[in-house]
Amino acid sequence: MTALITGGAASGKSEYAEGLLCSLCEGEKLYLATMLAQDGECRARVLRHRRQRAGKGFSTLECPVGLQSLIIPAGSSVLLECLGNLAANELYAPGGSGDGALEAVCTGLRRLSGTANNLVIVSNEVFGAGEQDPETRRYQHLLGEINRYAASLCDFVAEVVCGIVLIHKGAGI
Amino acid sequence: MKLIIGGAAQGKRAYVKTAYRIAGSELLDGERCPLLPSRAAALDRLHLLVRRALLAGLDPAVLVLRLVEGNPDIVLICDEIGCGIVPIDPFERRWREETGRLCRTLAARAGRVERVFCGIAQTIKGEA
Repeated sequence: MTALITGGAASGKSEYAEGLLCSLCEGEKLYLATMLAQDGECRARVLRHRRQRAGKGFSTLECPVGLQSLIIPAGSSVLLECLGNLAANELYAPGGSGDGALEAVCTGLRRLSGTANNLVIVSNEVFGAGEQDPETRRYQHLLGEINRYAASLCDFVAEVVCGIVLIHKGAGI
Repeated sequence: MKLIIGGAAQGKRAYVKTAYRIAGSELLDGERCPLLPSRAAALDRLHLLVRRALLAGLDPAVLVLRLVEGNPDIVLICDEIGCGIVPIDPFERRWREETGRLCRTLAARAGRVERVFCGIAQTIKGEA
């Protein structure tokens, strides 16, 4: 099964996504981490998420850029967290694809969904405020397109609001 | 306790007044009410109460949960402020995350959660 889980800041999307993958696969799972932990706040977030995942059978693989060339074992169960970071890194980070960010992330998602047995993708809702800065809008458009592409690949698409799951695709699954 | 959420200017307050028959005078405003109000039928702009609590160095969750204990039937109204681009300012990030976490705690305890979109309420927890 392939699932896309989105939500705003501190909505409970990670926790739900983890639980969903754990319900699909009891054994070994792969966690693809996309955050570049550059400062204390990021490191604290990484630690909080690690504690949340501890003892649930996840091994972590760092993937801040270059999902399109990542090789994972066929038939894996994968949690990819999150598209918001991956998109920003591809667009801005050294080693990212810059103007080719959309193509890079979408190719990565297509390959990953073809290789993994179960794939849960976490993304972000960043579309709720009237952003004026052109660069911010560019990022919003990039993530919006990536989310739409991810949703088209997925059997199940849900948004987490205050910890409550609102299903947008695949309610019968 | 009921929790009513939605984006800014979606008609949450008007909806609560009508649907829960709450008069304007019974509706506290998170921007200017006491940080720990004693009695309230409803509290609007919970996200601003959270902001004021953080600015005052207080734990917003402690204040709000105490308010709910004293007013078990209260209707809480909160903007969904976590759906923008991650703010550059650390306090702004902290505010939206604390608001998000508090809303999850409240939603888990609430008898009903409704999300107002263009003035239309959708029950996302509890009986419609």
